[in-house]
Amino acid sequence: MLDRHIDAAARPAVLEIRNLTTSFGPQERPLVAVDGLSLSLKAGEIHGLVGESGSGKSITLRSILGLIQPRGRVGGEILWKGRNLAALSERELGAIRGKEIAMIFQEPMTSLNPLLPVGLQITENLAAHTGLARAEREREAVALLDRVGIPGARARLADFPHEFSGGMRQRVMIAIALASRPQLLLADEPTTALDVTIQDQILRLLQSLAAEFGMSVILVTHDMGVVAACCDRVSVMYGGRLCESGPTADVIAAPRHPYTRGLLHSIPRGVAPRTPLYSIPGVPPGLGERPPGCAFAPRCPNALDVCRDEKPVPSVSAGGRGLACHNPEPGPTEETR
Amino acid sequence: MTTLDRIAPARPNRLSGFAARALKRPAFLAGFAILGASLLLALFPAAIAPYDPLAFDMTAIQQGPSLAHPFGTDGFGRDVLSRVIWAYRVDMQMAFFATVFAMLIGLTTGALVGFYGGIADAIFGRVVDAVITFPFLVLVIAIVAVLGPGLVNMYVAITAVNWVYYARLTRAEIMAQKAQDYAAAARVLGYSDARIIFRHLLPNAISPVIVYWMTDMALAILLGSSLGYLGLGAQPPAAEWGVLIAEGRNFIMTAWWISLMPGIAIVVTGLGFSLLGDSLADLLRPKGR
Amino acid sequence: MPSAAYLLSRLLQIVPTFLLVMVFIFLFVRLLPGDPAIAMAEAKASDQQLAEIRERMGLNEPLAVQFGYFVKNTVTGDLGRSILMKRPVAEVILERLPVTVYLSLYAVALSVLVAAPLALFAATRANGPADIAIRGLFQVGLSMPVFYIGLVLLTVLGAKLRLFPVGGYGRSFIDNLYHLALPALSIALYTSAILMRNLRASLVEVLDSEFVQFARAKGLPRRIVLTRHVLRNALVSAVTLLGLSIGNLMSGTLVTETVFAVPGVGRLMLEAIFARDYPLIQGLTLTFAVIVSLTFLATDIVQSWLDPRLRQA
Repeated sequence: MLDRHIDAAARPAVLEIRNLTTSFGPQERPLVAVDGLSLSLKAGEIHGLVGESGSGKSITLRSILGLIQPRGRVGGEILWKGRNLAALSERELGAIRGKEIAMIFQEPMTSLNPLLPVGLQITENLAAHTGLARAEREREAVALLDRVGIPGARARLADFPHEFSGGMRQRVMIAIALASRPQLLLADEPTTALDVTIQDQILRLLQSLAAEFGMSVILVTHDMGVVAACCDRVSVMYGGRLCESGPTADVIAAPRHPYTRGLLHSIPRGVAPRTPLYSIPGVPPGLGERPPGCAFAPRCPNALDVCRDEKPVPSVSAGGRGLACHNPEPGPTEETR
Repeated sequence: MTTLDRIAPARPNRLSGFAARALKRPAFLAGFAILGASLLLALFPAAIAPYDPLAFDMTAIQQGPSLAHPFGTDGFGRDVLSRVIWAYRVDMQMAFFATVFAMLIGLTTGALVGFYGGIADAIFGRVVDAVITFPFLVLVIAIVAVLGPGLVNMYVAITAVNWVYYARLTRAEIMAQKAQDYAAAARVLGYSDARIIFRHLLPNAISPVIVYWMTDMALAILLGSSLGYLGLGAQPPAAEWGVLIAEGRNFIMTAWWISLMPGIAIVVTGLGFSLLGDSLADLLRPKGR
Repeated sequence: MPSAAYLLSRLLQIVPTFLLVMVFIFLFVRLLPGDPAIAMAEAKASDQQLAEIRERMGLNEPLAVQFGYFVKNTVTGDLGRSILMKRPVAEVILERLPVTVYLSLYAVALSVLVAAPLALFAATRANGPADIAIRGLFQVGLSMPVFYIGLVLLTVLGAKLRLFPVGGYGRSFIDNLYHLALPALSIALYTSAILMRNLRASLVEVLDSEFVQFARAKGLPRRIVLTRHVLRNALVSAVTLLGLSIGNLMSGTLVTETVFAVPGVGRLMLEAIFARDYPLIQGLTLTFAVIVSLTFLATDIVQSWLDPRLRQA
């Protein structure tokens, strides 16, 4: 894993998100779901985007492909291969969606069309993005299902989604997303709806596919355990803003943002049985009630007066770590401020 | 109050909050205003109607709408507006009496078969299947054919068919409530069946039935005036919108207002019930936004 | 396609329901005051005619056996003699039935033509001004009785503008498109209001669903997302609704056939009632029940053909 991340660090960035802001509702009193998020992704990198529900992580993913519903406004820059996706028309985005950038969703139950055989749901993708003939498309669909680990793939093309188990459905969805060999996969909580054992299989599958196709992945999750298991880098979001980012191993070893610490605390690790699970006190703020200062200040054990009044400005330090906090935990190489 | 009465999901003490939310809805206000006005017209037609609805005026036969007669006059010089206003009395009654007994019978039957299930429920299921196999109007007029035309027989005929729809709805709601924890708790506490059904389950199951009743009153006016028009409901000389429309039918080429004006009353009143019903449905929906 | 087992089990489900329907219709004549034979006979029937009717209905036997006679007669197509028409009931009904079937299908076609585009238009602009205006308009449509819609159309389009004939029935299929335009439109304006409301709601739901978002994320052409993913899924609930509205549709034909003097079974029912022609009333009630049952059956089959989840027997 460590080798991989050193290897990845040398590659150029494929996706560069700068100051992404996504808002809904009236122009004069907007509800800001994503507030000035920046993120950079290298080829072949698996990037974890972590936060509680309502932190804006799913909206960030949907903003990249222009799939915001109900119609929201996307500001800032989403640079993909030198083009700003945020400024593209629906038609121009259509040429990128599914072909260069694919996406998979959380609920394999509801994300597949219940009325169409899975074979068609794969081949329609190939029809839209490749010049393959019908027979070739079908052969390719079988190969894809085979690759994601569906036994007896050929016989299952005519089956409908409800004839598959939850884990198998998620594999089908991955096969659909992979059909056009995308360079970037956006995965929105792909394992949340699945059993723990199946979760692990799906994560392994994503990892091996990323390596095999040289594909980058943004993996949205609320589970630090998932990040630890398979991500090269991680960005932690709270209240629509970025708290902390950096190589996964570094962030987990030495979290600097109090919120990241809290998230890592929530994972039981080496504690005696029956110790109550730690949870960060309080709840995340709603869309309309973001505080003027740091979004996390009301729940933060380290909060100072400045935290309540001023938004912390993100800074990047050595080792590629980003941080937006007025009063962070001491870093491994830094002295206490 | 026992502990359990507090466990069961809340009942009307949210009434004041409900009124506040209701008053913010234009649809609710419009429906409420229309029905309020309709009720006034039904209660005090004599005070409101400009003319005697039965007075012949041979000097003003089949006159078109004018300032003196906004809805025109009919073949005997009677003021159409006054006749439409007097008809509110019959049609508002129709909305109520054609539905209220069906609702009460349906509510009770539905609650009982929903609670006890078993053989009664199985038989009830078959009855529902059989009744919905007849077009509503066909079944009603077939029953009127046996009983003979007239307002009261029409109520009986509609009730005989309509209770099934209320019972079906109530049964489904009771089944859903029965599956909730508070119902199980009530049973564990050893309450009588009657108390569980009528104190605990029914109050929580009744909202959709009330909403349906509102829209059903609109349907009853549509159905009742259709029967009146066909000659199977209210009988002339009773002033009823469908009957009034039928009276003008033969003069529709020359004096269209005799037939078309009473229809406005049907549409407006029907709209009032639907607006009220729809906004009640929104307001009563649990966890409404 | 739905499996043979599914079709068979669905057919068998009709049997108990229909037996109960037959019981209702059987009891109908028995509930009349007086001798059922006299009710089923002409006013000036001879003793011999009455005896024949008693024989045919099994009136000298116990009630259960009488029901057996009724089922046997019905299944063999013997519905008795119409008092009004002085001909076998089955013959009269079969002669008039095609008119009503034509009118109903015409009305369904019109309501789909009106409701589908408007529902799509409204759903894609959910809660915008156009959506609210369309819904308001149809709410007014829902508050109008069909006979009144008929009279308004008859007055305005028929009598004043002379665009369409004000009644009657044509000679050929094409001729009837013209002759039955107003009655069909009267029914369609009412049913399309129901259809539009339902279709809009299910379109809004489908447009918002994860699988449509996923289809968009796949970068499929807009046209394919709309037809294959959105419309196809909304169609399932529209078909259900159309099927369930068959009762409304039949009630609508009964009224409009009367308003526009169309010689179908709906108008026949009314004529039978005023003439106290009980054999004809009985036969017509049964006919309507058969039409509704067959429509429910057809709806289930189409639904299971559209939705693979319903195919298991």
